[in-house]
Amino acid sequence: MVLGLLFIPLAGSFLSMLPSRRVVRPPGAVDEKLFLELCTRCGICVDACSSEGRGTLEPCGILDGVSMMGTPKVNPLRAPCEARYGICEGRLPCVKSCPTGALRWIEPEEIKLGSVSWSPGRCIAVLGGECLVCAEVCPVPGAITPRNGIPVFHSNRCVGCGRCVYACPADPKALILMPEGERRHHWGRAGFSR
Amino acid sequence: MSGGISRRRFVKLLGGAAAAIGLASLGYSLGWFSAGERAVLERSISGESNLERPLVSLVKGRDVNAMVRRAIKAIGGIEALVSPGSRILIKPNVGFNRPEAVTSPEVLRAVIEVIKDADPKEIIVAESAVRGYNTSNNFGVTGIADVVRGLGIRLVDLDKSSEIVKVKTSGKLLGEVSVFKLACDADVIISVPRLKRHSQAIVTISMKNMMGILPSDQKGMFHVLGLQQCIADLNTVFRPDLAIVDATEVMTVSGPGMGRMVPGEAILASRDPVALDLIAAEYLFRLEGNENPLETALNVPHIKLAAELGIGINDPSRIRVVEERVS
Ligand code: SF4
Ligand code: SF4
Ligand code: SF4
Repeated sequence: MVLGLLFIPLAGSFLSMLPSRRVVRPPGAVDEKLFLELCTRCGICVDACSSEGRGTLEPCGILDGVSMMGTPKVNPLRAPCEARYGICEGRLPCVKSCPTGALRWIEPEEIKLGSVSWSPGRCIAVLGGECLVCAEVCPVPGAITPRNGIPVFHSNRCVGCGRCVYACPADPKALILMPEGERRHHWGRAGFSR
Repeated sequence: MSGGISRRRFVKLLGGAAAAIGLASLGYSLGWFSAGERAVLERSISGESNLERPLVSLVKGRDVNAMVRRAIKAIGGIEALVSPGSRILIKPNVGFNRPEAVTSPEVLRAVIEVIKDADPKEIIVAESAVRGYNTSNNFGVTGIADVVRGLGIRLVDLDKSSEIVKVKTSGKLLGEVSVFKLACDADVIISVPRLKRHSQAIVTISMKNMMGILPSDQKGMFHVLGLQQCIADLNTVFRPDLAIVDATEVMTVSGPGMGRMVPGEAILASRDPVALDLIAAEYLFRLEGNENPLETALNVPHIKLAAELGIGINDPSRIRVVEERVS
């Protein structure tokens, strides 16, 4: 009996030591360590996002890591994030709905959720097709520049909206959204950290 | 054809043999395919507008209303095309949420007003945006929604409609194409694009604009199969009966989302989308300072391929361009 009760916290600390995947957080998320403390996995932001129509946010699952489960992540396969150059610009329903401060207000021009990573081996344009859909849909000047029919990605300009990932017609997709270069609210200071 | 365009479609069951039908019905009962996938529709395009010597009007000026009216008048007038009682689909380009990348609301308003005069049974303005953009939002932020609803016309975000049908093409790569049913139901299709550059299609004018009647997976498939040929193939069944190009402000150098905006101060119109796209492309390349604008336009693959499929004429010596200016 006593042993059994002991097992619960032990199992918990063991599970939290398992590796977790880095995910792309909603706009205005505080630094990851604090985020995991503040976020109560209530899912309100996910619902607020879906209420905009398609919704990019979804709760992390077990594959993202046990400590991540239930926390929100951006999934561009569902929909792009509309926080920059889109429907939610200047409104941020996810941030406004968060009751715990895990997500905080962020000005549109400060938003950078991450950046895309390109796999040339899957890219239709590289394989000789007529694509460049990514360059067509990207709302950021200079983030994707076509050269000889092939996209060139400039991750410093990319805001991580995921439009190109969503629209990429390659199967499997030639693009993945990564948190690389994300801009997060820095705890204890006004402003942002990269 | 004052009687307007008649279109016949009929449902063709996949497979002829009883065994195939049996298998298909078994598949259907097992839920292998949805009802929409069992039928392939056929759609005939108007033969009448296969004019041997197509007319293209190019009207310059600043008064958009007068220009649109002149441009349509110069190619025979709206009465020649829209018979009372027909169902009209107007397809503007509202693929993005930036005003400079979409058909301008003023041009669309002028087009709707001209068509209204012909007393059709129904006018619908419909679009499915570029993947990753929300069509309804595009309608709202670009001012298209205000104009269309203000005129009492039905505005349809095709992405919200679930009815999709497959239609046979007589193209080379696309055996059949999935489209929103609403587009298939129209008697007359009027393409109203903005004149723009396109990263992959080179230009996007009246024929490329027809991609906005496709569900997003089908749009993506065009890029996988070969965009230029697919645009031509699509136009074998969804060839605009009339096209009016907004060249008031033209997106040059790059596009279709962002480019260098140049005042074009023109409206072009034709019943031959191939001839129209050729002349409009030439106009665009000239604005870019291209030394051989016509040559460059003739080399736009989808315009050439569309001509090869008999969708229209791309031989400049056979195209009659009516240039006018309204003040
Ligand atoms: S609303 Fe806030 S606390 Fe709730 S899941 Fe989203 S980020 Fe976490
Ligand atoms: S590169 Fe992709 S993710 Fe980055 S801003 Fe452009 S569309 Fe968005
Ligand atoms: S959309 Fe995807 S497949 Fe197409 S060019 Fe871009 S990365 Fe390549």
